[in-house]
Amino acid sequence: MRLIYLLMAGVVLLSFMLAFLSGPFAVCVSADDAVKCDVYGGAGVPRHLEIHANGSFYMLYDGREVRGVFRCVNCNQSSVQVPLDVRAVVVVRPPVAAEIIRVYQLSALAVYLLTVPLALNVLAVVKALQGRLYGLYKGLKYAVWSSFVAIAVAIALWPLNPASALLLGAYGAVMLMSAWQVNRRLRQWVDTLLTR
Amino acid sequence: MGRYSVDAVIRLLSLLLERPRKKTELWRLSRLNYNSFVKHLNLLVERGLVAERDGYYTLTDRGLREAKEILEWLKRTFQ
Repeated sequence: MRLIYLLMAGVVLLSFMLAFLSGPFAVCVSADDAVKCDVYGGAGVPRHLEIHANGSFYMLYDGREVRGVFRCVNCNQSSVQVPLDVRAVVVVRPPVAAEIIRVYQLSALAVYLLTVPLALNVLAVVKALQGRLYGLYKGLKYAVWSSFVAIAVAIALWPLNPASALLLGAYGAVMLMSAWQVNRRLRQWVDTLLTR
Repeated sequence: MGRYSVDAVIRLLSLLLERPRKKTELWRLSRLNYNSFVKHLNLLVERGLVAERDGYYTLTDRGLREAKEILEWLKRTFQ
């Protein structure tokens, strides 16, 4: 497959994944009578949320404390529906909380790293379309770096969303093999050119 | 031939593929440090890919042919 199509497919895939995965994300721990969550996401997302078994909630929103009755269909400690457009609630029970929470926090933050391969892919496409010798070479290098980052992000995303991580990892591997092969062939060519 | 950078070689070939250039202009546009620039330019001259004519550095017939071949191959691979 031509690299430009692979890169463009990557731009579409990464944009879609970024839009899909970068919603608010909560990491929660079950306490005695409540589920306490730290929420990650963009502006306007509460940073802390506590949902109590009796249906009341407490949250920190833009630094302000909000208390009220939590209206949901299924309010209990282990199965929570959050009326805040929170993408996923991970309920982690002590005593393994500390370790697992760290993993999920990293995964939640790794989503934003998807902008790096996305930007590299766009740069590679732009450079390739310029049609200059050095531009094409730079495009190739951007493609290699993009695939490395995509694979790294896929590994970090695995605990959060295995299906997306698998898709991203597969894309990164295909891109890496293609771009690496072209890069190696180019190096051999230049080697021959300078030793002939 | 000592160690060389593919990046620097492609950069110089790309600039000279556009048109012949004076040494200072070529150095400025290449964005290489001066020692690296001189090393790679001399290497290309030694290998008969680049020549100096009337103060301008230009691709030789062989250099032009090879640079165009690489360009076309990269275009075919990419586009």
